[in-house]
Amino acid sequence: MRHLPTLPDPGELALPLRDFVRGLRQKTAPSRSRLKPALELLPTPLRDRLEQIARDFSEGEVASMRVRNPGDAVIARAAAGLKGADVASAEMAAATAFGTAVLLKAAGKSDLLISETVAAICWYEARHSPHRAVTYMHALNERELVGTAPGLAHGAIHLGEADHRRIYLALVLWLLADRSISGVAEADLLNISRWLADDVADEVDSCRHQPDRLERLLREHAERI
Amino acid sequence: MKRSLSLLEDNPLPIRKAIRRARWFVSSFRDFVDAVGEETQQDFTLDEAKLISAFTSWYRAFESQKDKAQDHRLEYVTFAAGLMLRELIRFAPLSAATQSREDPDEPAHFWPEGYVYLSFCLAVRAAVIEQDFSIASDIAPELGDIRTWWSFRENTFEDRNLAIAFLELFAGETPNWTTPGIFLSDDGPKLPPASPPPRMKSHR
Repeated sequence: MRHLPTLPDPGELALPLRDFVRGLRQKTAPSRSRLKPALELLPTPLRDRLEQIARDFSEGEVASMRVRNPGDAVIARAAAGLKGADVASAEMAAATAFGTAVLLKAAGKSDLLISETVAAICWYEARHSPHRAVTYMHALNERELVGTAPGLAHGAIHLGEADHRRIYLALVLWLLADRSISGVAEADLLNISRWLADDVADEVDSCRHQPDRLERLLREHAERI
Repeated sequence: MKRSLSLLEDNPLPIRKAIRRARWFVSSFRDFVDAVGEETQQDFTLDEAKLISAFTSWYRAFESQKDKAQDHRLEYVTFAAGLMLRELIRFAPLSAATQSREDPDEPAHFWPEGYVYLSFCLAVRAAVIEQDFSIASDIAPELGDIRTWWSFRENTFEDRNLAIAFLELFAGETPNWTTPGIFLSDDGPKLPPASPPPRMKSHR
């Protein structure tokens, strides 16, 4: 039997192509339920194969899927980048996508699409700013790092504006956290950042147009992680 | 009392600094709850989001009065432990599974959550004092006195600040019952009045 073509692993593609494949998979996600009545009319081997493809397209791997942990070294470089060091856009984007995927999963929204391309563009803007953390956080929000693929109904996977801001706040707090002492998994640091973001969101919102003060505040809060 | 604080004690940071990081606060509290649960045969559910809120609130309270502690560092350790107890009681991150209490006159069964909060704060206090001042901490006899526990629970529910004074009492120090939430009065170091706990109630 001839093998059906499969979509490549997004992790092996360049940034825009990774986003493209993730978007494609997100758009195909609802097809499983729509196909079900038709699938039941097909011969078993063909039905099984098509069901497998439909399954691959859904089940939580849809949007943030295949966002891999880029590894401690990449995360550490991205974290240092937010504090002033040089870091490649691709590394910042990888760390951002990983952190956001974990945060979305915790919020029960792991079917939303994360764009590494948008993350890289945001970082390009922020890297020249004297307030890198603030600029990056605002850019992620304004450029919509997280969303749905074009043409897809938002429906149940919609994320409110406050939730968006909360996720980017948690992400930036996580990146700013001290990593000079090891022993705590990044997923745990992300969880703590999420809870901390919930706790300080109002305070951060109150000075979101004062970059000096906000940058200082973000660093102070991150020190507590 | 000094159980399961290995995450703090083995930390490259001094305990007084490590406990001010959420990662170590949460993980050491989590370990401590497991240890107490095993020791007292009780199951606890931990809400880590509430624990972070307690931590954040404690951190702010700690920082806000820290400057007054420069000449009274040892006393401030106890006060900070009291603030921690106050915030743990306020945010109540623990829930003990309801079960038949084996011995309601045992503090650990009388108020399981409060027992964990108090034990944790006393253990952190003892570890900091031992590490920074080379002083071994004693436990006051009131810790096992169930009538003091009645008073502790009722009074702290009515006025959270009294948790600080009760921690001082359980740590064997003289409690400040009148202004427990303030480390130093305007006229100098804290001089606690030697009065009994407020509204000490008899429950039998």
